[in-house]
Amino acid sequence: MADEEIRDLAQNLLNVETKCYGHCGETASLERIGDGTVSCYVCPGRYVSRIITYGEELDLKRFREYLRSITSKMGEVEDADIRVASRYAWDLGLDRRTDELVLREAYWTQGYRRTKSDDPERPALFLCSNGDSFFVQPLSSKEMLCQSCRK
Amino acid sequence: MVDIKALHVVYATWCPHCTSTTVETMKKAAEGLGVPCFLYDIDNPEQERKADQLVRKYGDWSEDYLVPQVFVEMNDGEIRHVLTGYSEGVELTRRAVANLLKSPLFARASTHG
Repeated sequence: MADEEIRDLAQNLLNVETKCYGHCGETASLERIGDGTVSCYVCPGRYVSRIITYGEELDLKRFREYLRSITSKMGEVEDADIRVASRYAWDLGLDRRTDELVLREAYWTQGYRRTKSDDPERPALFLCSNGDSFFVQPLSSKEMLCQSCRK
Repeated sequence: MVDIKALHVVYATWCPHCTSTTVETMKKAAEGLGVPCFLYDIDNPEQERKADQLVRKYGDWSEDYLVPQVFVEMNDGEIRHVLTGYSEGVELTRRAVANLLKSPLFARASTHG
């Protein structure tokens, strides 16, 4: 399957509004990053609750390196922080050979291992409201622009 | 004709995607098919061992894997992973479970079961 088809399926079938976990509890919406093989759930305050990558085959090493590059000020991303799922035609409700593996997803959830008692000033990942740039700032910060866009 | 012999569901009691959304639905489906539904609670050490084996061998394995995961055991011995919960939201997991039960695999089994 072409990457574009996978991106369209993700956008059309795997796109629901959800709650912003670990930050504000407001609605978080799916936003495509770059070419769309990566998407993330972002709340109105631009906190990133989850990052997802899609593909017929997943390069988990590459995804982990990507996560490490954007979360470098927050500490290590461990293998255990990335979880995978297979999506078949039958559970996606697609009209094709029903047991066909359509795509796989890998998820990274911000703060998954933390508890509510953790430091509200801990570094957290946000998405710039001007585009695709991630940036790290204290969890309680209200800034919605990355450093480049603030200049 | 290969039919369904059993359903297997890996779940957690605290998981909103699991209990009412998947576990109860798959139990009812198994009842309708006249086959057993085996449940594996990942917080029960003995069941967790079996869950880990199933997920590692047939499912979406990662160190801290997603639940629920549903497997169908066929009467020729084949075990198929058929569903993993959707981290995007319970709504998607619920839709996937409903779609799975409408799929030819289950429809055929309900006809021949």
